[in-house]
Amino acid sequence: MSAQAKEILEQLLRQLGFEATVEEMQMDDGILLDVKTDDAGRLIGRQGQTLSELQYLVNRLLFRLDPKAPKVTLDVGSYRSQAREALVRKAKEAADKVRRWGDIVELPPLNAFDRRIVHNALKDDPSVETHSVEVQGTDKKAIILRPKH
Amino acid sequence: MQAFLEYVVKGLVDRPDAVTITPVDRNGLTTYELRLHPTDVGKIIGRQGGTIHAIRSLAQVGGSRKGLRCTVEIVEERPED
Repeated sequence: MSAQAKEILEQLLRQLGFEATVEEMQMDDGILLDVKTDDAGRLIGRQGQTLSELQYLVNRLLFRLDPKAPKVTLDVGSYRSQAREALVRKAKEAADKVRRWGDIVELPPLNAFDRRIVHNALKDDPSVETHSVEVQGTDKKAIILRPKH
Repeated sequence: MQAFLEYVVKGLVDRPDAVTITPVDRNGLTTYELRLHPTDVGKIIGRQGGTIHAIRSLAQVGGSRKGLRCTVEIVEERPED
């Protein structure tokens, strides 16, 4: 089933003119496809924009073929896993703040994939709960952390 | 690039048979005109334009690999009166 995701990605990369190899890894919340290419910078794009868009299209195409297919995360080299670790670290620091002061902490606006990482990172935290809220006057969303009662 | 667009667009619509993609060159910029079955237009635009935005931006990246400038437009045909 997940071989489908790898095939879709390989197909797209080939059509976009990237010479690349794709390695597939199982994760607890779906599969990770790690791309190795000589043109990583271009594939990642500014702030990971291009990589996110490619990931979005792979997931949309996969969903059309198999609505039950597990979610796919793309990485290039270890660009995303490093960004993910940094985000989890930030989420845990924010949670520490909430625990220490009992205040509500709001993180900067994040896209849906990144919010999911934060929610997941803190879902087993007994003292903190996370909510996505709309940032007023924009169409962006941010996560707020507040103490659990 | 044509192959990329066909693969993605046909993979996302309900009526792949109604998809046509026409490259139009103007001053070194290639515009790929996308014609779709009317009920499929929303699927290619996506929520808040997310899908067309992703398609356009990847077409640009793919083009830049080959030294080409390109963009993608959805052409909505007016029904014949």
